[in-house]
Amino acid sequence: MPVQWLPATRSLFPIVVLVTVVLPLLGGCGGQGDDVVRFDVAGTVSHGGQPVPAGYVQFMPDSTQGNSGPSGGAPIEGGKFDTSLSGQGVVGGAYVVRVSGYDGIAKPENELPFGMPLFPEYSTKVVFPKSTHKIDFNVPK
Amino acid sequence: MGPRGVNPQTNVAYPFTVVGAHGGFSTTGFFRQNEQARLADVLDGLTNTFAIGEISWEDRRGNRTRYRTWSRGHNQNDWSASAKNVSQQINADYTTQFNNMSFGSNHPGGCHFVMGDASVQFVSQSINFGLLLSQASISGGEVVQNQP
Repeated sequence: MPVQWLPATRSLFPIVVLVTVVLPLLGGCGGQGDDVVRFDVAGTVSHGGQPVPAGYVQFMPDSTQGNSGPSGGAPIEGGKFDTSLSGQGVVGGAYVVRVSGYDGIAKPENELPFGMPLFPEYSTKVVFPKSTHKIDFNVPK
Repeated sequence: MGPRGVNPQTNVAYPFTVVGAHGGFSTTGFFRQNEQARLADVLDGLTNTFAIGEISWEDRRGNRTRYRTWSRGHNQNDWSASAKNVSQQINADYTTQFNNMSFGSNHPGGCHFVMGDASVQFVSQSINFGLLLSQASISGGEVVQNQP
């Protein structure tokens, strides 16, 4: 009679592997934990036409336009930003953008690692597509 | 420890003092500059309101996050080491303005917050940003439904 059970046991083998080997790997520590589909945004940031040496571009879903989701953003390095490096892109739709820019000349005595601000925080609005996107920001002087 | 941004319930910006070169100060958080809040002031509910957040990561892409430890306290009208603004997504690569330093951990996926009732929550880095701000305000009147 054990012979008759053999095919059934074999057919269970993938399930046994799934439960004992694969599922434990899916849980626990590790993974990005990001269950939101994000689209990367990259581009340049300039101030009066000059590249902004350091700073940050933040993308906040515009709740006044009914958009919601996580905030995205990336540091500005040498006039460029790229959310594929920071891992925090956008979900698409209406966003409020906050841009801060620094001269990039570190002032350790004042604990300003990126130097002095070039302009008061600049804000603008953008509607992003649901796809990767290139966009340039020019902060007026 | 208060929010910097727009209240998603009322679409009005949260009260904020813009001052200094380090990012300014929220005036509607659990701990804040030169003011004290009583537990009874936490109208959004102690369970739904951040009291203390985790910044346990040392650096982001070589830029330090903890050159002022929380025990250094506070510099009048300038920087705060102990009461920061909730201004960035959790685990964002943000190190520019000190008062707005993103909360985060070395664990991918999120970080921990102590709530007003002394419970501890692990908050996902993919949390809805409006909900993150809502939980940082003590009396914004937002309807908070915690994400699983």
